[in-house]
Amino acid sequence: MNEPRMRVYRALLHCYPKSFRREYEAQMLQAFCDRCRYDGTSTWPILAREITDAAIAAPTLRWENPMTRVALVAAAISVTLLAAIAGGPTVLVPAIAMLLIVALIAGGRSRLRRPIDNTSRWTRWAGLGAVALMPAAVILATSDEELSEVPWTLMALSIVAGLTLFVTGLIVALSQRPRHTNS
Amino acid sequence: MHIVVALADGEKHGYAIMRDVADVSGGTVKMGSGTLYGSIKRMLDQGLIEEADERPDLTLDDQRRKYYRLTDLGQQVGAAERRRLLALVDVAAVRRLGANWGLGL
Repeated sequence: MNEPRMRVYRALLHCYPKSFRREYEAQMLQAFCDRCRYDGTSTWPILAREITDAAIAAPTLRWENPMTRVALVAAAISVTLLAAIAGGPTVLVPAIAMLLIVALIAGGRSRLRRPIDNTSRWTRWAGLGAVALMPAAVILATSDEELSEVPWTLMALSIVAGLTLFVTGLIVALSQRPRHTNS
Repeated sequence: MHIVVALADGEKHGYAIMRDVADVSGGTVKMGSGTLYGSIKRMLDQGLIEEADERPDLTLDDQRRKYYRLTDLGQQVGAAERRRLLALVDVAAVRRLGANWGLGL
């Protein structure tokens, strides 16, 4: 086996998610060796094809990893909170809209790839969390002066409920990460 | 479906699946390792295939190889997909699709 090309292929495998590599790296290396040995073509075209394949397959696999979507939603929540602190109500409403879009995209994609026996519902929690945060956003966006007791309580309840639902969604997502057993 | 068809006649390892898919499709479908093992991962998650303990291909055997075979669910899904495709082909034949392009229907 041509060692420099094997090293390139090994490096290429780092594009794939760590959990996927742990499971399939040895088999992928073996398959690459087999192709180079038995396909009757030189190694470079095979390597080029593997590079183009990795450009599509690796991002797909990363996106399918529930942790990627959790990280994306967590980042969107962080941006929303930062927007609330730094930018005030005018920035908060678009930020929450962005958060909703991110949650919907993450949930929609996971539904497409959902395994038959997977009962994952974490995106519903995230969606409910985003909905629960909406009253807080509306109150912040519409109030010009200091909040009286009732809107302040409503806003606090909305934020607490929203964050609780998001955290529940994160816990559900973490508990439903796919597990594999090596034989 | 290509992987299901490749495994229809018995367990195979990754490279054998790749080769079978390329042969059956006349070379039009060439799976890369990422696509293949990504699909294998999904199909394992969905219970369509499982790892086989037997190692039938002794001439090409290696400890790193894993063999995969269809589960009962995989067979059922393959059969359902075959019925669906056959029904579609029947309709296409009835409507003489491709009759003017050398299919001679």
